[in-house]
Amino acid sequence: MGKYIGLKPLPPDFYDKYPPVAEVVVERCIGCERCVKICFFDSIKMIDKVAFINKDNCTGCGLCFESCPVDAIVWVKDETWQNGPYIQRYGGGSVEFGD
Amino acid sequence: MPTLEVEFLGYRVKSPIFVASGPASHDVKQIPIAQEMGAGGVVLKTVVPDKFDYMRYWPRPRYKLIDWDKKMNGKSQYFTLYSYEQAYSGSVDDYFNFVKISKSISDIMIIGSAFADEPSDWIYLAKGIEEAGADAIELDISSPHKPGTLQFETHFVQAIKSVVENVKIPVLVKLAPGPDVLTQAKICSELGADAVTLCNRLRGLEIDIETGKPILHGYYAGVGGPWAKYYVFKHVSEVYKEVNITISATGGVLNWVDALKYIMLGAKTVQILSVIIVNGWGSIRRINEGLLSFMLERQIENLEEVRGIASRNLIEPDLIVRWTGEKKSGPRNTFEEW
Ligand SMILES: Cc1cc2nc3c(=O)[nH]c(=O)nc-3n(C[C@H](O)[C@H](O)[C@H](O)COP(=O)(O)O)c2cc1C
Repeated sequence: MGKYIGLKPLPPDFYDKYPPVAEVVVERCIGCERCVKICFFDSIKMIDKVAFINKDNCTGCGLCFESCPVDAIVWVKDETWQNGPYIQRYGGGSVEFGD
Repeated sequence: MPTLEVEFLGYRVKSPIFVASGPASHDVKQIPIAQEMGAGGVVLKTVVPDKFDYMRYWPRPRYKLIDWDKKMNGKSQYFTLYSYEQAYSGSVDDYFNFVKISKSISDIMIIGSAFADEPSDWIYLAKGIEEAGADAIELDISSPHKPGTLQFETHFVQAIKSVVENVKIPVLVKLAPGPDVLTQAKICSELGADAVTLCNRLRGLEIDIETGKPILHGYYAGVGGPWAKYYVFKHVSEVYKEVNITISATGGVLNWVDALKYIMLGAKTVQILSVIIVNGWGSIRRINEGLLSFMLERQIENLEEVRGIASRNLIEPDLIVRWTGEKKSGPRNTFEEW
């Protein structure tokens, strides 16, 4: 098993085409339930001792990647998404908000 | 029996521990959880005017735990929660509804939070939040903005003034950490604000050396973590000593000891968020229990007995005990044999 990496510094390469959502690679999951505990959106459940991510609830925040000790979580495309991405267009002196 | 109850802005709340504005107060489902865990109240996620609807879309991913020790998990004192999250993701009307429902399904204090640029928008949001039944409103003038845009003197003084004049509920102003905190807190008090929330997180930046790119969304992000409390401790102490205004403290609380320190420095309430994100909702209960057992052990009946004690114990710099006779050669950077 490789070294624990956690969330990679950059988003997956399709991040500007489809919204990324998290998915568990079943063969790698050790059933520790850490991702279930850290998920803030009730999107992870244990099914038969393996974590399962409900994509409808996943907001793609990235927290579960960090909680997984075996890097069993990967990004997949949410292909059901209808609208394109939203890019903020700031004019000169316009306002931004983020925390 | 000791009690955690405190008087806060005219309300009697069950605990000084509040949920800070953010993802833990973005949905009505979270309000009963906060109540059950024993929070004294909740500051709801910040809403922005409809004209800023682009601020409601969040990038993916938007959180990264830096220096995260997987063995320590959220018990480590050194991790950083690096995040770029936008405002409340619904419309202003959704938000007013959110306030209303939150109020109707709970009996803890519900504080609305808003951000805008022009006074008319501030007033619209503040009045709507008041009419929806919020117990107070927090003006989030400190969630990081695009550099060089909104300034305290040019934008926010007027905003605070107009909100204070237009609502009857208590007004809290959430300030950014930095050299201006004391001056800004004084101005808030003069403008008639009822409290200051000290302090929001600072904006920082992390990069990836493989690609030379800023990580995640590619731009600055909010940074915070248990290490961030020390400068806020100072701000709380300074404002407590110098300004006659109620303080709600926020920043870097990991456990009950941190919360107690904020109270000993003069805060009435303590808002927590990152610890809930990484360690779960049980953090609120654990902090309450920790405070209570400390009080039992020390026979403290009420937190008022210790509130501000550490700030009052702060000495003047001219009273610091110093010693002459420092070696002329100064501090050395080599370790020679004595
Ligand atoms: C993900 C995230 C989102 C936040 N969003 C807001 C916000 O919308 N409005 C606001 O006033 N503060 C916001 N904050 C700041 C928190 O309310 C809080 O003051 C800060 O995180 C310090 O407390 P902590 O160290 O316990 O997290 C946010 C913080 C985080 C981590």
